[in-house]
Amino acid sequence: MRNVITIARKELSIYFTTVIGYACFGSFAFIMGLLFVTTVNKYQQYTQYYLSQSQPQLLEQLNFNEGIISPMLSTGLWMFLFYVPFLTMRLFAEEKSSRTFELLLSAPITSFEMVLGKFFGVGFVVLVLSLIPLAFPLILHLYGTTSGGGSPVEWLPVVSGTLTMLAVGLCFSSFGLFISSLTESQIVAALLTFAVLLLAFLLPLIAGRVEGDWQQVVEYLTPMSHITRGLQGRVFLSDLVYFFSTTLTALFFTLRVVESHRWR
Amino acid sequence: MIEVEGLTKRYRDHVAVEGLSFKVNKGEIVGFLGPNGAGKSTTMRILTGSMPATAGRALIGGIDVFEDPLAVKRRVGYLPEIPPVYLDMSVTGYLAFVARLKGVKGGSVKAEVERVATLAGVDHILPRLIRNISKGYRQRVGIAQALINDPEVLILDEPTVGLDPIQIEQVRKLITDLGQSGRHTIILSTHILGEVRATCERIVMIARGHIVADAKLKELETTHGTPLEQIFTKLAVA
Repeated sequence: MRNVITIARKELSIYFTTVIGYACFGSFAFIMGLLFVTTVNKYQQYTQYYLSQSQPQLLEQLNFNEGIISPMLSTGLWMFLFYVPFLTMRLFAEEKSSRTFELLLSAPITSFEMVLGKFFGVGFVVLVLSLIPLAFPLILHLYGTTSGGGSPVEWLPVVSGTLTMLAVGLCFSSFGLFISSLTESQIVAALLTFAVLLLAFLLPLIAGRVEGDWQQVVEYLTPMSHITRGLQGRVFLSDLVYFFSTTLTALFFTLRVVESHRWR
Repeated sequence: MIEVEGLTKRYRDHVAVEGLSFKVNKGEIVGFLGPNGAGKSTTMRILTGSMPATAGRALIGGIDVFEDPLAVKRRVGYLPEIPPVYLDMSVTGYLAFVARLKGVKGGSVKAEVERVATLAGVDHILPRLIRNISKGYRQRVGIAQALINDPEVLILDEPTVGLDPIQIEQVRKLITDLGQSGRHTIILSTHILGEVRATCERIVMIARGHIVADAKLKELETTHGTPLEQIFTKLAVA
């Protein structure tokens, strides 16, 4: 475990001595902030429209969780599609191209510790990224009002939404890590990771074209079908199993690739 | 201390080294000589467990590199051909990372970093980013890294490449000092013959993947009756 922490610390220190970490957090927070403002504006317009139509029953259906927070989180998830490849591309590819991989291979650590350490390193960055959107429900909680008094934000769906983001981020990172272990070129690693993640998102399109049981298989495989419920605050064991097992699978393949360097 | 028996490394249609056998006793400094592409780096990589062999075995301190790699790696300090430094880390950060990787306990990391930095002459540039230091300094950071945890065996692949004459002199002195303490066994590869003369007692010369000479430097020159330079040319071409 000590070695895992050593590797994870090294990855983190590189994210933060370079501008990668700051650029990543800064731009992510900026875009999310912009989204927040536009979503709140849209929400206000709806409120005003319903008020002018004097339809109180519609007004009652409006709430911050469904109207603002969960659409924002789902956009945040799409942003992972672009952010994760850039975060994971260097993990193994850079080690190989700068010949530092030889240091790790000749150090008294196992391949398992190496892979897990790198995963934890990028995992921490993904964790912080998933926590950034929590600022917005907090703002709504502080400045929003409800007719009945009490907090305008329901916190449990926010927690499950954040956990969903984290699960998706970690799952994506494990695939990025795997692809990075296959190549010496960071650009190739980023491109392929992006392609694979995009493909996973686009699977529902394919699902519409296949027939019978296969349709269910394809639908199960796409992350999209495991995200929606979590963002709405409904935690399903099957979704957790999906993210857990895909992440473990990708990490396992990464481990095999790294180990192959020891017997090739 | 180091025993190599019938070591062979084959790539798909290319043989890097074939049937290498040699022994290095404890406390010896052995120069690993040979023209470029002779298989020096390959052999060193295999010895440090960062590359597997196709056949043969390698023992360090009586432990088989392929059977218990972790135990071997704990006893070996290795400087690869290209110093394995992270450009985006500071010299201290990097050396502390390697120290932790090699199992130096949390509290003594700082002292160990300072010790090796002083030995390798990089103690005055500790806070600088490796990206911003010269090639010679990077090479010395690589040497410092190999010295961490005071390993019994040091494997140095062309340790003086990229250094200026003064630094070369310092590194050679460092190597001979380490050798004289008697606790370290050192293999260093080079194709600078003056370096071998200045630091090594014994040489193992390889060419095209085979050992062509393995003797004390003086004996070799006496038997051939010519200086090392001519022996090298003769054996490398033959």
